[in-house]
Amino acid sequence: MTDRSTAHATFTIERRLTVSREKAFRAYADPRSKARWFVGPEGWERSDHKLDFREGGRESVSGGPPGGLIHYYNALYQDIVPNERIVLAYEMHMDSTRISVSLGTTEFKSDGKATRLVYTEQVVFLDGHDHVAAREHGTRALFDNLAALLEHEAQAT
Amino acid sequence: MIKRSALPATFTINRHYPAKPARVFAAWASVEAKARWAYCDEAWKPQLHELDFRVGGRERAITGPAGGARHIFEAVYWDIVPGERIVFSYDMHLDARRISVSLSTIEFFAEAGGTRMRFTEQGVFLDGYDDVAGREEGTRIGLDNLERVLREGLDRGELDQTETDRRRAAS
Amino acid sequence: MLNYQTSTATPLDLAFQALADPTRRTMVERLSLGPASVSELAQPLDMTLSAVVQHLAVLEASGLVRSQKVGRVRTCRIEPQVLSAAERWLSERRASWERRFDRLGAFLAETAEDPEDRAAATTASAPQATKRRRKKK
Repeated sequence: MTDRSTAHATFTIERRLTVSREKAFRAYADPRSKARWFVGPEGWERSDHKLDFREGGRESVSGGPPGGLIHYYNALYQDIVPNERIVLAYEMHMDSTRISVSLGTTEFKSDGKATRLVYTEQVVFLDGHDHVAAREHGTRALFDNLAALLEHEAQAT
Repeated sequence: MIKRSALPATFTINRHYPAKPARVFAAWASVEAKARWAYCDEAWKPQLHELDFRVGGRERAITGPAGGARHIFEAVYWDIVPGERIVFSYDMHLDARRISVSLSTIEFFAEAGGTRMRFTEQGVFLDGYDDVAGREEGTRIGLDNLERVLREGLDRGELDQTETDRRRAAS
Repeated sequence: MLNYQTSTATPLDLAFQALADPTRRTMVERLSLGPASVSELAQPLDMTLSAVVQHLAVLEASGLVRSQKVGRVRTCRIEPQVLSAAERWLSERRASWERRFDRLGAFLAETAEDPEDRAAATTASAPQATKRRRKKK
């Protein structure tokens, strides 16, 4: 019998990206770009990344260490303002257990020729899977990947 | 040109009801039950209300004052534990304009005498909804509410007709 | 960013506490249409004047309402500038749910089938049902 509980948390991460808002936004909107930075730690196995980037569209991907728990991400896009804002709702599963549901808001703000990315997550952790520090850490790692990809693309052109 | 902004905010409401958790939960789980309490304003007849109450299911409701803006509520259910918990995300539109996206968690705790219902909303309020149209809408809602308060007062026999007429004339 | 899970009462906590009561919501709705004297506010409310004044004190302490006495008449008005636009929305959103949860309570009371539930419902006072009397015409 599962002990039911919830824990609510909010955190915000800001990141300066050395590219324009248009380029930063494209890394979210283009399925191939998104699949390159929206990945787990090195060594993880991964399923196909599916992305239908439009209001009402869905996104899903799963991954995990070989032989370990599978992390499953499933999102619904709620609000998209091109080059300015993305709001989505998403759930995380570990194997077959739902561990959290979140609202994620990403804002793209101009900073000269660069972009200030402001990401706010409002999360409800379910039934004791209360890992806000790990969630924040994991999200920062994704932004590291994003920044590296954008730098790489900028140098390549 | 809409000035873009996104304000995250969280609030919690606790309520105690003298009914068992299963019954309070059931009040959220069907269109028939929700029609009795769940619209923003009692006086607004819904143009549409659909509910598919299951994980992954959707809900859609269109309400609003006669001749006024359409209030459109659209939700997706993410987690349902019968009798215990509901988690859904929803957005609100006023006509074509999205004004918020929210994540709502409702928990039902058995307590002596009935149920404690805990409602937590984690919302993002969009685009500085305080322009002239918004204020006008707010005023209209205020007037509608005044009408309702007066009507309820009449129904309860607490106000006689002349008092009601005087107040209507004064507003 | 606004978060209401702190232990100290912020001005906004006070505002929400003010709005958590249906009588005070009725008063605020009336004042959102324009200023009113205390007796005008009290007229549709079936309670003693001192109870009305107590509610008003909570509203003034929250900063939502301001009142001024001129001669023997105290006039009350809404203070919209106290809350920024965003905070106003938040108040409205929260108040909207509070109203619905009032109606949920009434619905549960009306549909109680279990004799235990019905007995509990009639003894428990739903917030808006306190001290209502039918005035004889």
